[in-house]
Amino acid sequence: MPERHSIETFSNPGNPEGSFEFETRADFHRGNPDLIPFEQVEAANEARALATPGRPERRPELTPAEMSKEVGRRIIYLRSNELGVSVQPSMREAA
Amino acid sequence: MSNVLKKALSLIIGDSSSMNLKMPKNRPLKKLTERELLQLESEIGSKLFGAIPAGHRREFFCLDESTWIWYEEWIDPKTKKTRQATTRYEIRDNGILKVQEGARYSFLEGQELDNLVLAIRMYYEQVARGVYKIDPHTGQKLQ
Repeated sequence: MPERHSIETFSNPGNPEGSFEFETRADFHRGNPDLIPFEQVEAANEARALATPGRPERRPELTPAEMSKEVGRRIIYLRSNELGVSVQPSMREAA
Repeated sequence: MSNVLKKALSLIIGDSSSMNLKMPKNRPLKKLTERELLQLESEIGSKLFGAIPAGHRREFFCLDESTWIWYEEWIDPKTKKTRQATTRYEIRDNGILKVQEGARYSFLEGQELDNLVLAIRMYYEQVARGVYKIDPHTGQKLQ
């Protein structure tokens, strides 16, 4: 695991007085044990992003009807495949 | 009963000579007709809802991508006559419609919906493996 905690230095050769040190986020956390661990913040942010309407980053679960229809499609495909027909021979259409 | 349903049931139920259809060992599917495939599927489907009561005959199969059929046949102990019941499940965008004889329609919900969906999933898993020799998860032929 790479060390997240570090002191970064911003150097400005043209203006030494403009150089400064700053703490990374993880380093800041190290000095503040009451803060929420970095990984938990990331997980919370991800969960919040997924829950935001209009941002379906994860495929929603199928409804029972959608799932049933998907299974039906697959069954008809397998059946048609075994019969050697490329078009699904719906018995409804044949009737 | 609609012509579609009659045709479907005649394909499945047919005559009694087809009742003991078994998968040939060497060339499992090459000689099978659509009717025979449906019978093999239904043989698996009929067992998904638990034990079949003595004297009953049950069929459960996928008719087409949006229609599932449950057929049950039994001898009435009082009249000694054969009775039968057919239930058609229509998969619609807004739910699963249960259609029974006598113009009874209702959208499935609750435990009944859960049970049917579970049975449909199990049907696919078992039919894919048992009839078509396909891994239901990868779509690859089983060895």
